[in-house]
Amino acid sequence: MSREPKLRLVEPASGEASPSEDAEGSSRPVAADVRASEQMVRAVVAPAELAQLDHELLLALTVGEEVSTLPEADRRRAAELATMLERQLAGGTGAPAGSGAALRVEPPDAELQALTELAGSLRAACGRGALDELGNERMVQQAMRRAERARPAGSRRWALVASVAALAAGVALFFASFGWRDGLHGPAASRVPPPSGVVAASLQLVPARSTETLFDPAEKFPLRGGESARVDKIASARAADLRANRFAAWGVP
Amino acid sequence: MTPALRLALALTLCTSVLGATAGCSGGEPTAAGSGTSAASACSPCACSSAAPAAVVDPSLMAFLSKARAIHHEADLAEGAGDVPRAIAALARLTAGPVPGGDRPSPEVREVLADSYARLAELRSGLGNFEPALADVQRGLGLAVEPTHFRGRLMEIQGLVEERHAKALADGGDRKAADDAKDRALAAYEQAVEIQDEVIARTLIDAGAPPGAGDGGAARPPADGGRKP
Repeated sequence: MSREPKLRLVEPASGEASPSEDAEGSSRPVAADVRASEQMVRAVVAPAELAQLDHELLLALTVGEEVSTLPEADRRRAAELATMLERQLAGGTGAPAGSGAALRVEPPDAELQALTELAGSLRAACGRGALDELGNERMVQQAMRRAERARPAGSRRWALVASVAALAAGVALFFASFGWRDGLHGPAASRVPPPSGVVAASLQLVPARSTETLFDPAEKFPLRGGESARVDKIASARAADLRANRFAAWGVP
Repeated sequence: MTPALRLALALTLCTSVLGATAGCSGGEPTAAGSGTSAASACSPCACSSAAPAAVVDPSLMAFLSKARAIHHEADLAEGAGDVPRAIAALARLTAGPVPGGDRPSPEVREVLADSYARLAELRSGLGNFEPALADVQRGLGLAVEPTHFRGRLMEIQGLVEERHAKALADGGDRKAADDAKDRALAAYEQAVEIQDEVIARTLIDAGAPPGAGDGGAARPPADGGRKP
């Protein structure tokens, strides 16, 4: 197996001409403008109103250069570009009235638009400019609609599977209820309440149980009579249990 | 068949099995289900799955309150000599809906068993021996554990057979009377066995060896089933 790397550096073509001095000279102002624009974008990121800032301090903080080393023309131009970006972000046309001539090089519209978008995004990331409630709601709705449209087919398939399972469970319970209803008697039996008495095991509730502990095992029940007294005793005891269960369900210790 | 379709089919089968299991009546005496009449309660079932335990809840309390009112109504009717009215009142209890459905709680089964015993005693007093014995059998189907409720039912069965034997003897049917008397004796003996079993179990629960009593059984602890 060959151990040679699959990727290699591409060497420049031997016949390719290096940029001429004229071309380099003509690109210098554009590169300087781009650099200045980048500096302005960094200035826009600062979480404060640009108009109230000391531009020298801002440039020193963001560019990392000594203010004194920056030429006066660059600083003036930076301030103008910042103002233009501010207006652009505010919905204006961008170039301040009467100041277009002050810029030595007018950035192309596409470049300005890109800078404006970037500045707006950075400002939003920094927490500048709160969204109004309706705008936020609109954005959320739009995002949800996009997410709904982008939902893969697998999710819909799972929803279909879950629906089929739920339908099958309902059908099974319906048919199973026939056997249950066969044993019913009396008019009230058809509207009996749902299963009751079954609760979460986590709750410490008094269980239903035999009532034999309520009676003296040494004394058998009389052959005749005594039923009312016995059911009175049972009902009283279970009433206390029911109160205890209610308190337990309410979380009362 | 796609994987999703296979999964849907599997889920369908599982839910069908679960639904059939949920709808099955069980013989577990301490389980709770849906409400149904006492006459159909505790029907046998082939299900072996354990049911969740029931707790004391408002439906149980409502049934006990109804039973208490009906027994007092029967007391008044009996006191007035109106036994048919007492029977009709008790029949409203036994034929009405009960909490727990085909799996009533122990309290419900014991109160119903006691009510069936009273019904049998009243009906046999009127000479209706067959319905009385049927009531006894229904009660025994509810009070399956050896308790005083089951013991009293056996005693009532003996009483019904004894009354029946007397009626047969009065009618001149000596052979049938003797048979009924034998059944009465057997029922009384079973009642005594049940009472002995209750007493012996209570002594064991209290920590005393069986037969160590001084003629009276030890008092059971206060209703000790609370707060499992």
